Amino acid sequence: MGGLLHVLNHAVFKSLLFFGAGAVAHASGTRNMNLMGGLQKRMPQTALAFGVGSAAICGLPPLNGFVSEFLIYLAAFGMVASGGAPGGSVAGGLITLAAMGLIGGLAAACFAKVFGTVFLGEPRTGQSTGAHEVPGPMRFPLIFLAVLCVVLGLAGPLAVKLVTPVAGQLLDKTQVATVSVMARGLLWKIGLGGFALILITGFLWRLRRRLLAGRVNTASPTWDCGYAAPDSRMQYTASSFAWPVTAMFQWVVRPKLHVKIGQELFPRKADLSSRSDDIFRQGLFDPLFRAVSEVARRVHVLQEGRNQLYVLYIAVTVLVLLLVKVR
Amino acid sequence: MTVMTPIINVLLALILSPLLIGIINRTKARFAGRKGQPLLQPYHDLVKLMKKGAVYSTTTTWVFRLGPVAGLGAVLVAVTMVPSGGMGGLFAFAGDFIFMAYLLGLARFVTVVAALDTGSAFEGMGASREVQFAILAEVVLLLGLAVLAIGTRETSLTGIYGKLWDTSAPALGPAALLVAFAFLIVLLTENARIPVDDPNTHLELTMIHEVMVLDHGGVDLAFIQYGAALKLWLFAALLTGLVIPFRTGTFYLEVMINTAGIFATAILVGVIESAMARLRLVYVPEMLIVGLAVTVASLLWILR
Repeated sequence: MGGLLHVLNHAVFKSLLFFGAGAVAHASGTRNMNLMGGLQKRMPQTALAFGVGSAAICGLPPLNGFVSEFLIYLAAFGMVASGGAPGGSVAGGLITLAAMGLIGGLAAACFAKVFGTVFLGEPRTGQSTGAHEVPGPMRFPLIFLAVLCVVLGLAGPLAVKLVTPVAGQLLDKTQVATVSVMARGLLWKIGLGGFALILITGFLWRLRRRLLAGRVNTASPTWDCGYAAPDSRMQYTASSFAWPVTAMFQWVVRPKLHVKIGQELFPRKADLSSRSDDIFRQGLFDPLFRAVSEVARRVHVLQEGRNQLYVLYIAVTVLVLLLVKVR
Repeated sequence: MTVMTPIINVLLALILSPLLIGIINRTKARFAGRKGQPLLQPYHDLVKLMKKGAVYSTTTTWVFRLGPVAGLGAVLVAVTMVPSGGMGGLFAFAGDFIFMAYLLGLARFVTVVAALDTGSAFEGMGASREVQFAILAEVVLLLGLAVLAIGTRETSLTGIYGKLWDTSAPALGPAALLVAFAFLIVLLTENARIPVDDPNTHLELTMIHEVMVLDHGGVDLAFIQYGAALKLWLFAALLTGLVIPFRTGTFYLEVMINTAGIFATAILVGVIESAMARLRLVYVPEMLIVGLAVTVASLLWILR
């Protein structure tokens, strides 16, 4: 049930994020987020929607990602607490828990990185300085999906109602019905907690406004710790933000680090770059597709171009099949 | 038990949590041979900050302003779910600790994006490290709670802590103590204490939490510090409930014992901070992995 709900929610926030990524690529003219930054001020609506989507995909309350992750967690904890029954194992539950805890942390790290590097801070290059908000038709789906993230997050029970018939198709119907009732009961409480969260945050926001009104509020550059010439290039980039995590998982990700420092006593120029290749692309897809195209190249001889020959192929194939059948 | 009693739990947390910081600082001062600041100094600091105006960086946007507000909001909701010893939290339902863990995650997320909003290399660095350690700390916390869930066959914090040292629960003790040790490591990490982070300075030595909030001031900083105190209270309460090996069953006695336990945890943190130096940053993940290993050991004990 939680799984199905997560599929639905994923459809919402993943498409939101892809739309957002498209809008960003369109606005800044680059797909390398290390070159972006500060887009928040240039395309505020897209940024807000993308921020909501990022929080949702990390499974943070009060958004929809949390609702479905909560159900999955709960099922795993239930499995663990009941000592395996019914229809599950303690080991399975534990692995689910540990994996989800890890994935939750990684997702939060990843999307804080994306949102932070693309939309926040100062532009790193001229391209993102000149970025502009995308036209209405591109913004509308973003905003619609972001609203959906919030609605599904607060009204979890309704979303459960939506997927109950689907779950009934896959699993035992009576069991699904009881689970659905239980899940809805819990999700009302989650929704209530979400409302409480929004109310308290709203109250604190008002309090802050009230306190700050009539006081001296000034604007100045970001505190630079006394350094005289800060530069937008000194900001943390996506790669540098992710580096500790990348290094922690270097046995999987295999990042490559290139450091170049001049050998003279007072080096004038230094260069450092890091790169993490997609291991699935390098380890799985590239060899696979290369093998497929190799086979295709060999078979290519058959593709002669003369229709008569193709007719002959068909005739020969039919003959062979016939012989196999007759024998 | 009336309906009112869990509210007292929450009120105690709201009122007394800044005192924990005062206790830690006093303990450290005593170890250093100083007299130390007044125990109520954190309250004075909060009041002073609340009276201040604000300076905002021209780089920042609403994300920076939302960070402290939403962060404190999330922690406030999370505190309502924490039981005090055998006495239930205000909010209790199956899986409430998942909600709690993710509310803390939300608080972290908004703090991290607010830090990135300043465009400062320093704050980016703090944010980057924060999310790295959080990945491990979260796994330890959830796995530790799973161990307790198996042991008590309960799926809510109130249920787990109610049954934990109950005579009906079979031989949970050693597992609970192991989990308590792991939670202590999580507490030190999540609350940015030595040996993970140094809360005294915000340059050079302290490269995680304090550096993320470098640009916040006035009311915003007060929200952040109050939120941090509440978070410390929350983890101290979780820890205390694990190690106090009996349940009295009477509410006021239970609350008193538990509050004393929380203060004792603060003293313990002060002692740790006095006795240890901050670890080199590369060793922090190793410390968290020790926590994970201890949790797995407690799991083996439960499943044996």
